[in-house]
Amino acid sequence: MENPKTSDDWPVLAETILMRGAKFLARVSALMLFVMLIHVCFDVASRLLKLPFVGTNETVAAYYMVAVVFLPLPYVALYRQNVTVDLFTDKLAGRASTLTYLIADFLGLFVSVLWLWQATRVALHSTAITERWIIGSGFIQVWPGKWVLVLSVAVLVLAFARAAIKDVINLWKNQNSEEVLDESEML
Amino acid sequence: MTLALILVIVSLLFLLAIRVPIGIALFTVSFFGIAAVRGMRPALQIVAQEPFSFVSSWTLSAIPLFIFMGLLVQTTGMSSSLFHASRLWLSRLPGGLAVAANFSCAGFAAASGSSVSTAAAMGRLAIPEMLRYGYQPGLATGVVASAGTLGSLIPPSIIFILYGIFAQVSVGKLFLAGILPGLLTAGVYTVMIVVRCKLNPALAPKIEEDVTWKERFSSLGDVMPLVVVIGLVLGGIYAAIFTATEAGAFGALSVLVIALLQKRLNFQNISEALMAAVINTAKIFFIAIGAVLLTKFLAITGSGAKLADLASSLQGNRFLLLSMMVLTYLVLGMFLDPIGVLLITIPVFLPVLNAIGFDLILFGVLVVKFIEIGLLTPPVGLNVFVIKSVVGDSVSLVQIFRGVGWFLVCEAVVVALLFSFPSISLFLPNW
Repeated sequence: MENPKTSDDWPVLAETILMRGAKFLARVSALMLFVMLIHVCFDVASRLLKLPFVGTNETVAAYYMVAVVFLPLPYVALYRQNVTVDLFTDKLAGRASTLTYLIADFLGLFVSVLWLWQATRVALHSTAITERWIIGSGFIQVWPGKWVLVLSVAVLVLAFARAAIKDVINLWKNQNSEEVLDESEML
Repeated sequence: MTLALILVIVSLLFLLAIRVPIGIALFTVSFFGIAAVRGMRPALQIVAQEPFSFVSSWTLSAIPLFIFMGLLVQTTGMSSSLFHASRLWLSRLPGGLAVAANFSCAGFAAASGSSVSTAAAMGRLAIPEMLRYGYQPGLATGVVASAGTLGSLIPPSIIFILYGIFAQVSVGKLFLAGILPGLLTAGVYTVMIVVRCKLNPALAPKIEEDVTWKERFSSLGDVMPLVVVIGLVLGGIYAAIFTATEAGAFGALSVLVIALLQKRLNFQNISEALMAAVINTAKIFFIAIGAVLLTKFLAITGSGAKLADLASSLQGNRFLLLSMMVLTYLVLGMFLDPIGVLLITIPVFLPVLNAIGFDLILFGVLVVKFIEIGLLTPPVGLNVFVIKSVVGDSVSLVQIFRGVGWFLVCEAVVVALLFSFPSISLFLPNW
């Protein structure tokens, strides 16, 4: 990916921001995985010491898992890392190959827009009622986790939109859409 | 209902065939299926509620933790110590390096939950070594491609966790059920390798090197801590001290501590393992969310109940039903990712299995076996392609598939034993 040079390079700038944003979300997710690991280990140790924490299961479910699973989704989509079946399209080249990518992009866009709409609706409602789960004698607020999902799916929409725009251009120019992923760049 | 079900399945297969990601294909067809049968409002409601409520699960949090644990063993170089130790202990056997690769895969499988990562990690270490000593390329590559499949059978196993959630079966019991079939598979592979190499020494030239007992025992020093961790993780689950999630966290933290003490740990290998773990987790869950929607489609439209009724009417022909399921797994496994195969088929098959009263733990073990066989069979055979990417042009795809052929014969023997003696799978969970 090129770096933007002038203010006229706004498509490149937008793409750079999107790529970096997606990478940032994936890194936050990685950090959350590490924190979850430590939290669960502390919980086990505290239980063995007969001083159990309260709410580990709920915190893992409502916060860590939501961050670990949803935040990397835009990154996975941007780098075309979603699992596909390539057997029947392997030999396709040029427009036919690009067309299959384009169909996947538009379906991805459709699914993610639909998901964003519904996730936002749920998050707004959850925030309005300050949704919480009861744990022991207290409770845990779960509504912020709903916004993690909204943020992730919003960036996912942009990732599929970027892929769709690129593939429309590729189809127009009769270029192959396959992107080669550099593993070091990815990680 | 039947027409909707047929349309959904045909559309799903069509979308998969034109390279639409499995998660998106499942999501799309299930959404339209529900909308067509029950209307737009229920379909939107399911999209609004199900992804979050599925993901926010304590049990499923074991998946990223076990993925991280396996990747950490790989990035910190513990997997190479495993192969080194197996090599020193087993290289004097006929086909000793291949036997060592087989047991290294079994050992790595006990720290990793995935077949593909087991094959990739051990392939990079073991295959160049075997080729350097003049092993027949088909044997050298076939053993790692095949033994890599132990990654999903020997616990921890990502496939078992997902199966357990969908089938509502104890993940701990599934883990225990996988141990003996996994060891049996490794054992049958070993017998086949030793017999073949004894009968035809040209397959695996004898290694002339003096290894002292001191060297052998000292090689165990590097791997023993990992073996102890694996023992504690599995023992903790068995003794109900740990849940699967706690075992995953404890295992990953222990591997971190061991790597730190062995001076293998640095910021780069931790961050690489963490990033790869969350990316793999997101890929798996995207498919799983699609499968949840498919499950909802089957429930809402009553398709699951109809399938169960159909199965009940064929009660006398249990063997025919099971044969059809086996055939489905073998065919789908030829061109689909293992987790994709599992998540597409389980929502459809579960009502049938419940209707005919088949033991769901035994079926879980068999499903893993069938999916793993699919990883080795043409035209795709995912593990074979993983090995091909490791060896590059030095071994052809045809040679690898030929090498795998002998291991498929072993798989047929193992599957026959698992069907004939269910206690191989059920002994530990029922003990």
